[in-house]
Amino acid sequence: MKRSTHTFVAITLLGLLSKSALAEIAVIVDSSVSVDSVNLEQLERLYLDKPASIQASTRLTPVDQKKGSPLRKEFAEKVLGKTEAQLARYWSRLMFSGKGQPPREYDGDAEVIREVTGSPGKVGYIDAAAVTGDTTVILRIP
Amino acid sequence: MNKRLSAAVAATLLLSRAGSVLAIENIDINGFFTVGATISDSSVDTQDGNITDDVGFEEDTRVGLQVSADINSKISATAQILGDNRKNQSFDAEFDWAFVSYAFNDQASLRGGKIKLPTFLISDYFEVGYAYPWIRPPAEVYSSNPINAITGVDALVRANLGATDLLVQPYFGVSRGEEALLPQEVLPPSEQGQAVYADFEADNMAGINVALSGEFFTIRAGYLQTEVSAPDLGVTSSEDVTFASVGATMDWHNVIAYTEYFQREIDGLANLAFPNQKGWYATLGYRFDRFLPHVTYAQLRDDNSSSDLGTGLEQDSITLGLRYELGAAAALKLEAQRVEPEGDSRGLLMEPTDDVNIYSVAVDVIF
Repeated sequence: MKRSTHTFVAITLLGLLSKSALAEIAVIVDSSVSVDSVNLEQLERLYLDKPASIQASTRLTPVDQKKGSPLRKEFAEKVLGKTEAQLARYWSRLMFSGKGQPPREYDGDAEVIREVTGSPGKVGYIDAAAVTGDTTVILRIP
Repeated sequence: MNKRLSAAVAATLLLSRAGSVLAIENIDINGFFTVGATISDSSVDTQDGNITDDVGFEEDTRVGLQVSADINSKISATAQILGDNRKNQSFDAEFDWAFVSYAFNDQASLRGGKIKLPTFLISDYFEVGYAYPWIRPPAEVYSSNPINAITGVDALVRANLGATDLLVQPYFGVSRGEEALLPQEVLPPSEQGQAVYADFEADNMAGINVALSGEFFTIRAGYLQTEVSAPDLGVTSSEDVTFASVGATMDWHNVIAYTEYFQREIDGLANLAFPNQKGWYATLGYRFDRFLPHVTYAQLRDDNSSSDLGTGLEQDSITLGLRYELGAAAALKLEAQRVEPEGDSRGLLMEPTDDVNIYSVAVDVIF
């Protein structure tokens, strides 16, 4: 009996882990903005405040998910190649030398969508399952 | 980390003042804080009097607040307020730097105001302990330029060269009213054994900082020339100064390395207070998850010729350190350092002595 409870817990945990590991990320802009194809490298440069050379109908500004959120961790690892601590050190160097500000943070997919919608040029990323018709997906990151 | 005032609040605040119609889109407020304690095993203090054989908090404890405002899509203003106790200021907060920046595009911007001088790899965030491995950057190199900031202009020009990014940063300005620690050798006997500071002026300062960064490394070089005078010291003429530095840092597969070299040359009477020096250091560390143990070797050497007036200082030091990450915005650091003045020199201590061991602990936070 006890053993089966453990097995159940283990399977549930495994399920949760694989679910979070498999979350697809959608990168979104306001529907009025047209953006040529974007690759992961350009997206990394945009989010690290480096010249990104993305062809778009307007100047692009990245917005971020809340610090500590699972999606931000996933994005930082998959796209920026950094852990959150590495990212914090990266921004502390740029920001406190007056050479750049990190993207603003928004709490959750709904807030990111709200910020991107109606602000042409803002770029955000959300769980692909949360995509609504108000935004255009410019890249999907499996 | 970002505490934001909404556009509405900012606009209301501004509108309530004389009906201003200046629209500030966004204001960011960030800060950093370090509390650090030191103790040494010698009755001879460090030359600034901050590290003694009693537990002291003067050397490494400081707090900074940065305010950044986007005026519009091209113009932003940024200011940093710093309170510390390194020069016995008793935490009087003052503007460390403040500038207005104009961005021509993603690649080029112009800044004007009081600008932090990019003398070394981490000069422009020297006070932000969280941003580097040590409790304090090696003094053999970092104490060699007493000018922290200039009033003037600089340009930040960036270019993407394949897998690397180039930054070219020319600057021009002046430094007035900065205080430099005077060498013990020029003090009258009644003031020896104390830390004495004097105002000095640096005019026509022109310099350039060039940095090349890849995914795992940055290499940089810098050069500046200026004319220094110090009326308080009787140096009324302008004496030529040149300062050259190179450095590199790496963060590759958990291997962390830093190394830098500098050479400063100061003519005439000013050489009395600021002798010709050269120095270097190398740091190697390895990150095990949250732990970063590291070791640093540093050297400071006299570079005066026999005709120069001043007394060059010489010392070596070896530092063992450990940085431990406390979450994503704080770090705990421990260090043990052995300072060895060379020859007859007092090095960066108050007076000539045998080796001095310094033990330090610090916590760095950013917010």
